[in-house]
Formats: sequence, C-alpha cells, structure tokens
Amino acid sequence: MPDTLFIRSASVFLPESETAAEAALEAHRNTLSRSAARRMSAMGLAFDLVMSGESPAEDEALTLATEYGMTRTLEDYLVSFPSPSPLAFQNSIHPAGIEQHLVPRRLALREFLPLAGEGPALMAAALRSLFLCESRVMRLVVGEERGTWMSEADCGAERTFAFRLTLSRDEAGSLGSISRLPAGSAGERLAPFDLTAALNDRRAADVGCDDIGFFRITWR
Amino acid sequence: MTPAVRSPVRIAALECLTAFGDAAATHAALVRGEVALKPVPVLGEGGGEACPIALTAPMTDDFPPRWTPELARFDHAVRSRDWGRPRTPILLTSSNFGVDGLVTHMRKGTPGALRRGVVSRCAADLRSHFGWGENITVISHACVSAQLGLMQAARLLAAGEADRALVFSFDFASAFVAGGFHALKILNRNFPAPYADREYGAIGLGDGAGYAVLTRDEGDFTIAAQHCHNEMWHFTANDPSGEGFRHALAAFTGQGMPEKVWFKGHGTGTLEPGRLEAQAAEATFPQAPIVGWKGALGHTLGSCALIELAVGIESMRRGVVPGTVGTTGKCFSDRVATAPFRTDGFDGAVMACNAFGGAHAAMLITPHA
Amino acid sequence: MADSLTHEIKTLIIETLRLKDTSPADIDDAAPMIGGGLELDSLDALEVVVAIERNYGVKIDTSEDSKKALESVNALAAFIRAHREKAAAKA
Repeated sequence: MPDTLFIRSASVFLPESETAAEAALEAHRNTLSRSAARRMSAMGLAFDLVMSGESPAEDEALTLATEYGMTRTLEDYLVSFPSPSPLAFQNSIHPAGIEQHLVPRRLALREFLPLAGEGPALMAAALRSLFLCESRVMRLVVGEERGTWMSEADCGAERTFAFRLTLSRDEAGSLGSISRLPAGSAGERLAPFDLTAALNDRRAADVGCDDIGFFRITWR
Repeated sequence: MTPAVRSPVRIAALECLTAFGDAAATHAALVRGEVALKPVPVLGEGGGEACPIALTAPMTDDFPPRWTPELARFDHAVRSRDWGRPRTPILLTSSNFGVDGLVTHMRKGTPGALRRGVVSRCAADLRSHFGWGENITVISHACVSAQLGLMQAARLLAAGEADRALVFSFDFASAFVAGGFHALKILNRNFPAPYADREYGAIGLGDGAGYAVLTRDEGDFTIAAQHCHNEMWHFTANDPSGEGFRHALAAFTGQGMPEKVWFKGHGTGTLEPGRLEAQAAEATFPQAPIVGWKGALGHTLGSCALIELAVGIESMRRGVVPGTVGTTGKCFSDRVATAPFRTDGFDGAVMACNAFGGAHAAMLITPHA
Repeated sequence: MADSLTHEIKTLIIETLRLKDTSPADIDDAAPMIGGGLELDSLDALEVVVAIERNYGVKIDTSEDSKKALESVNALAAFIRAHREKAAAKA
C-alpha cells in the first residue's frame, strides 16, 4: 500500500447557487447527443461534466462516493407507484449516476467501487480505497444532486455539485498529492460538499476521521 | 487478462440468514431440493401480481421495518464497540439498505421510515444500534455489493491496515424492489430455473443477511483469490459475446490455481446472462459442475455473495454441494448439476456473482491447508 | 381505425419517453423500435410497456414477450388489437 498518490488532474463542478447549477447542467445536456442526454439526471450530468476529457483505461480504477445518490430519480420512482417505472427504478439504483457517463461510452473498468455513507467518514473511506487499489491509475468521483421533497425533509442533498480527481503512483507532472498520515494524526472532518469546496479553492488540508485516518492533500 | 489477486484471507466466522433459516438449515433444505420461493403480491400491502419471493417474514409497510429484529439475530457477533475502530474495519454492504422505508413513508407518511430509506441515514442508524465506530466502508453496487465488501476486507488485511475485518450484508425484499424488478419484467408469475434453456426468463427475490469475520490467520477456510471486472456494456445487459463472463472467470486459471474446482454461479433465472455464464464456466472449467441456488433461495441481491459463500462453506464442511434447485430439463450447459454431489476430489470452489452494468466479481474458496 | 391506433401508440411513446423534437410522423410504423432510428433501448421499451399496459389494459408478462410485442409500432398495434378481440369475445 503506497503512502502517497499523486494528483494528475482534477475537475470541480461547484456553482454559486442551485439555479446556476441547473443552468450549467442544462447547457451541458444540450452539448450531448439526443440519445445520451435524454435520460440523464442532474447527478449524471454533473459527473459527465467532471469526467469530460478523461478516458479511463480498462485496467484503471474508479471510486464513486455519494451520500444521497440519485435523489431526484428516487422521487420520480416513488411517484410512479402503483405502476412502477422500470426506467426510474433502474436509474435510482446506486451507482447509476456515474454509469450514465461510463455505459454509453462502454468504458470497461477493472476496479469500480461505489460507496455510500455519511459525511466525513464517507470521504475518509473513499480516500483510503484509492490507496488499496491494485491499479496504477485511479479516479475518485464525488457528488450529489439536489432533490425536491426529499431534500426538504433532510433526506437529500441541499446542493448539486461534483468533483473528480485522477491520481496515480507516479509523481512526474503531478499537480499535487494525497498522503496517508500516521495513526493518531488529527485533521478536518470534511463532508462531501466541504471537500469539494476545498478542492475548488486548491486549499491544502488534512482530511478524514479518527477511526479511518487522515489524509494530507497538497497542491504544487 | 488480469489474473485474480491472491491476497489470501481466512474466514474466522461466517453466518447467514435466509427464508430457510441459518446456514446449516439453508444448506440442508437445498440438499433436500426444497424451494423457499412462494407467490407473494409484488407490491406487498399494495397488492399486485403474485411473484416468487422467499421471505423471512411478511412483506409489510411496518415501521420499524420487519428486518430490524432479523438483524438482531447477529447481535452476538456484530454488536460491539470493538468493531469499526482503527484496526477493526467494517464493510457494510447492500443493494437495498432501507429502501422499503421510502414506500412505507409514501403510503403511511411515517417520517422515520423516510429517514431509514436513505442509505447514509440507514447506515448511521445501524452504526448507532450496533455501537460501531466510524471505520465503516459502505458499499452499494447492486448484486456484487457483498463480494466487493469481501474484496476490500481482504485488501485491508493484506495491507496490514486491519487485524480483523467484519463484512456485514443485508437485503430484504420490499415493494420498492419487487415493484421495480416486476416493471423490468424479469420478476413475473413464473418461478426461476437457473441455467434452464427455456422460452422465458424469470427471477425470484429472497430475503438474506449475513456476516463474515476475516483475518490473516484464523479459520478453516480461505478466500484464496478474488477478482472483479466491469463491462459497462449496458445498464441491464451484458456484452452478448460473453467476453465479460470469460474475462471474469479466466482470472482463476493458470499457474497456482487449483485444478479441480466446482463452480457456483450467479444464475438468477434470466435467460441471456444464464446462457453466457454457463457457457463461460464450461469453457473455463471444463470439468467443473455448475450450480446456482437462486432457484430456491431467490435472489438476495447485494447480499448474495455472502449468503451463498455461507452455503458454500457449509457444503465443504459437510462434504455435499446442493444442486441447482428449481431447474429441470435441458440446460445451457451439460455441466449444470441439478442434483447434489460430493466434494471429494475437489480442491476448492469458484463462486461468482454479477450485476447490472455488467459488473462481475468472483472468489476462489479453498480449505485451509 | 388502424391509423388512429398507430398514431395513438406513437403519441404515447413520445410522451412517455419525453422525445423532444419528435412527432408521430417521424416514427416509421414498420421499423424496429429498439435500436432503430429513435435510438431506443430495451429499458425504453419496458417504459413503453408500462404505459401501454396502463392505457390499454393489456398484460405483457415477461421480458421476452415485451421484446416480441415491441418489435415495431405495427407489432404493438397488432398485439393490442388481438387483446381487444379476445376481450370482446369473452364479453
């Protein structure tokens, strides 16, 4: 297990408001082919945006992390009862959001690890999973989509956002690094939104949680 | 082709719950050829077509959900503040978690049910109930969830990041999930017959839960190698050439791999994936009997790898492997075993599962030498 | 009669799948529904099946039956007409 992974590239989608997020995602939808765009949710579009320009090879790895998953699609599926919608059911199944990017392009992956969970522990588990990868190149994709009534009931994300980090074990040409800190280290407990903001600002930070550990993110 | 990763870990403890009961009761029922699936209204209290579902208790809109007391059966092993600490990670896996709560809330307006229906909230509630620390990796990848949990646990142990790892998985049928599979037309009034070459496909759903404690140095059986691969071919279909299945299984051949294995496949009862899997298994392990147990237990979705591992270990302990219960007549491969057979002469078993999006995950199980 | 049923079916497909910028005249009655010019896949077809079942009271049992019924708009119309004839004969 390496002690350090190097950031090769990064992309963050963090608009100032939900209105701005919706506008940006609709603009992105209009750039896609009709068949690709038709079924994409807000989360799918956000992930598609941050994955733009990436061409993961089959022997690479991807960890996905989201606290709430496809909230809007879940809402759509529930209201379809008593005649459940097969499309909404399929799209509501974790990890449909990132599959909306990978499947149309048939981007096979050796290692694909979709994670769920809460806040700082989810981010710590996601970061740790990168160090456990067998592959030499790994990606971390994190994001949420705002729902409607589920978000209002505190059972969905308040904002739509996403980020993608591409890392490898090779330092040459890197933008920064993520290192495992020794047991007993301290740091910030950052939930997905807060980590996204830190990455957006290229802010160095020690992030994680006590029981999983902390990780130092630095930028050149 | 990438060979399977050999980071052997031993199974210090393992148990499951199905509609038949614990691992021993489940194994015995399967050897007798019993089927736990029964016709159940697909929308539970909402009615609907009767489809084959294997339940541990009636599918209701109750809250707290019916599965809360079922998970309490594992309290003796998993309810401890020692789990989820720096050296004792938990891999919590499911494809459903508490989604039944979303339909309960929709029908009855129960706020607690809505909260339980959200994966992150459900995981937090379980952590609180079991007294766990925060060292929990929550994995949700449809039907390969538990297998990925076993894989991550093995990696943590191999990397020296853990002394013991707990993989805990549960999936209980509900109107949310049954309604969805019914809408996909693969859960219908027909009973499943895995690997049967017939005109129509059908799955059953099943309740399932289980846990495994993995260590580097304790236990009679070893997860000797594991492998995963994701086709990303289509949301609900595999590459029709079968390449994804062959790729996944070929990882368990070659130098250092046991020669004589039996094969436990995913085998839900759908036609095309069943055909591709059976043919890939026959091509990869020409001498191996092929079995699948979802024709009796139903598909326990995200938990199937752990449930079926428990049945597989029980098979190795007792020396007899249940056949592919629920399947008769012509199959996609002559290697499909519909009757029980003895484990004498086999060095181990390859157990595979796969999921929507063409996800494949498999492991090699051997007795500890 | 045949024209109005196929027109209804095409309108239902467009509404169910939210096919923007598509009119019934754009859909070829005899062309394959899955993998044809509309770029629909098997999931789209199942979504259409649910809508057809709800609107016409027909029942399509398995995914294999769905594929047959949705080979084309003409095939679907024939399926619905056959169901109506059976129901009328029973009445």
